[in-house]
Amino acid sequence: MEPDIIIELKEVFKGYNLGKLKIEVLKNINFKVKKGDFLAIKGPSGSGKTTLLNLIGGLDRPDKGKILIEGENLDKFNDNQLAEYRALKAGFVFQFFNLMPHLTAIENVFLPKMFLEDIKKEDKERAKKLLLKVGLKERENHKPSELSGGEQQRIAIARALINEPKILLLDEPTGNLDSLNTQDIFELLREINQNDKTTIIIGTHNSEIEKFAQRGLKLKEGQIYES
Amino acid sequence: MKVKNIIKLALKDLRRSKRNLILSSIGIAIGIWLLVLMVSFGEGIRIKLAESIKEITSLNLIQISPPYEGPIACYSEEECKDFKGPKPTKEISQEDEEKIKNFPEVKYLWRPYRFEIEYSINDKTVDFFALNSFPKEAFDITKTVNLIAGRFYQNDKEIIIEENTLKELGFKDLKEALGKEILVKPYIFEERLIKEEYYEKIPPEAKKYYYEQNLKIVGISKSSFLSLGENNLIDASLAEKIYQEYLTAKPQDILDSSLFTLSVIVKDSKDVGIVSQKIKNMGYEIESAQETIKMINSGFRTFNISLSIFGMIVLLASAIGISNTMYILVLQRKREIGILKAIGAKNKDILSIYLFEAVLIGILGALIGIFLAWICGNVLSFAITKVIQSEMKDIPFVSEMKGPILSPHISPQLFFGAILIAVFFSIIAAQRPAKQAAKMPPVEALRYE
Repeated sequence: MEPDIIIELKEVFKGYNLGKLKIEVLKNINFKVKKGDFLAIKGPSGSGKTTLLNLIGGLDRPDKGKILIEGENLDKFNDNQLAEYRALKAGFVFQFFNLMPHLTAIENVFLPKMFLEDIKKEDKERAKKLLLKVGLKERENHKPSELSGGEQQRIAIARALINEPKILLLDEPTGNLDSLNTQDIFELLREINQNDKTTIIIGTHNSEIEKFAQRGLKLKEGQIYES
Repeated sequence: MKVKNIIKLALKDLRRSKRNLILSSIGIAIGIWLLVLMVSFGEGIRIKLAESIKEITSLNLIQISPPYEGPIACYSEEECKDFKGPKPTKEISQEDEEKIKNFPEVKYLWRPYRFEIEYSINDKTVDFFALNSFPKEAFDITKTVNLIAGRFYQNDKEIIIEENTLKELGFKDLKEALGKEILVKPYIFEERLIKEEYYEKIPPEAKKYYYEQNLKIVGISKSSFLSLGENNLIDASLAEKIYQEYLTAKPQDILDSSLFTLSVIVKDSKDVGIVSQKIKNMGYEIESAQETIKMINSGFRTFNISLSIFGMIVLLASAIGISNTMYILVLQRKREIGILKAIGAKNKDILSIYLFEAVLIGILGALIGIFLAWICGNVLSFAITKVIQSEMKDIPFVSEMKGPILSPHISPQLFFGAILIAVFFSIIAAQRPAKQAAKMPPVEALRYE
C-alpha cells in the first residue's frame, strides 16, 4: 500500500435484485484516491454514483471486491466498527441535506459527537466555528425548516466536518440548489480541501465542478473511467 | 453513547410527537390507575385491620388453647340438634401451665376468665355485659387497656368500667362514676328457658346468680369497636374467686371452658415468636396479635396480587398500544434512523433511544395513573365514610369515628412498584419495534421517503 493513498477500491462489484432481475450497478471498479485529493465522480443519474459513495462511506457493503481505507478492508468491519468509521473518518453529505428536523442548526452540527462522548464546551465552540466557516453563525438556533436549501446544505457540511474526518463524501450536494448556491458550496469545499487537507469525493453531474476538483472520474454503465 | 446523550435525544424526539406520547401514556395510566386504586384500598383495609388488632389486644399477649376437633358447622336438623361446635382434644394441664410460667421470656400467666354480668349503679341496671380478668401486674407491659380517666386497679376490691357500659348506666359525665361503688352480679343462664325473642334481655327466671359484690370504680376504659363490656376489667385474683363460685354453680354437663385457655404475657414483644414456638412444641395451639397480623398481611398480599392481575390485564392491553405507537414511530422515522446511522450512530444507540422513549412513556403513564388513583381513592373514601356514617349513625362508634373509615394507602413500595411495572410493560412493548429500528441497514433506511 502506497503511503499517500487513503482510499483504494479493488475489483468492486455491487448489484441489486429487482424481483427476479439482478441489476449490476457497479462492475469491477478499481481506483485509488490520494490523501488530500479533491475528486469528482461524474455521471448521469442512475450511473451508480450514490452506490459507489455509499460503499466508500461504509453505508453499504460490496458484493465482491475490497474497499481499503488507509489499508484496512471495510468488509472486515462489523456493524459497530463501521459506525465508528462513519462517525470519525468519513463525513457524509447528502443531496437532500438529511438534517434532523426537530434539532436546531447547531444541534444538528454536533449530533455526530453525541454518539461518541458527552458534549463539552469545546465541542459547542467547534460547532460554532464550523457554522462561522460555512457562513451561518447567525442561524445557529434555527430549525432546518427555517433555513433555505443552500443554508441547510451548509449545515449538513458543517455536521459532516464536526469530528474532523479525513474523508468527506458528498452525494449530489448541489442537486437541489440554484447556481449561485452551487458556486458557494463548491467554493467552500475547495477551501476545506486546501486548508484542512481533507480528502473530498464528490458525486455530481454538475459540470461546474471541473473548475474546483483536482481530478475527475466518470461512471458509465457501471464502469469507471478517468476523465 | 453516553446515557446523558441518549436521554437528551429521546426527550427531544418525544417532544415533537406529543400526541403519540400522550395517547400511549394514557393507556398505561389507565392500567396503573386501576392497579393502584385496587391495591391501595386493599392496603388501606389491611392497615386498618392491623391497627384495630393492635388497639384491642397487646403485641405481648399469647392465647393458648388445645387443638380442637370435630365439625365446625352443622348442616341438617339432626346434626344440629346436639351440635356444640368443635371440641377441645385435651385440657391444659397444671404441669404444662407451670412449665410455661417458668419460661424466662414469660412475664405473667393467667386463665382468662370471662363472665356474664348484670351491673347496677344508682338504681339503674344493665344486662348482658361482659367482665374480663386482667392481671394488675401486666398493666405496665401492655398498652391494651386504654384508660380515658382514673387509674388502674391495685387490689381485688376495685374495677375498671368501660365508657359504653357507663353510658348505658346513664352517666352523662363519665368521670362522675369514678370512686363510686358498682354492684357486680355474675350469672349463669339456662338456655332452655330463653325464648329466642328474649335474647336481648334475659328473663329473670332463666338467670342464676352465683356471686355478687360491690366494687369501686377506679378507672374508665375506652370502648373498642362494638364492645359490650369487653373492657370491663377486674384483677386476675378476684376473677379466680368468682370462678370458684361459678364452678359450684354451673350445671355438670357444661364444659369448664377455663381449662382450655391460658393467657401469657411475655416480657418483650420480640419474644412472642420464640415462646409461641415452644408452646406449639408442647402440642397446643396459640393465637397472638402478631400471628393474626401476620396472617392478615399474608392474606392481603394474596388478595392484592389477585387485584393487581386486573390492572395487569389492562396494562397488557396498553402495552399493545405502546407497541403499535412505537412501530408507527419507527416507520415514520425510518429515514431519520438512516441519517443517524449514516453519521455514526451504532445499532445499540438507536435501540437505547427508542427503549428510553418507551421508559419515559411508562413513567409518565404511571405518574398520571398514580395521581388519578390517589384522587379517586380519596373521593371514594370520603363518599363511603359519609354513607356509612349517615346510614349507621345510631351505632355510637361509627358516629364517633374520626377520619375516613376506609382509606386508600399508597405506600412507597406501591408507588415505585407501579412505576416499575409500567416501565417493564413499556420496555417489553417497545422491544420489537426498537430492535427493528436498530437493525435497519442505513442505506435501506435512507432510501425511505
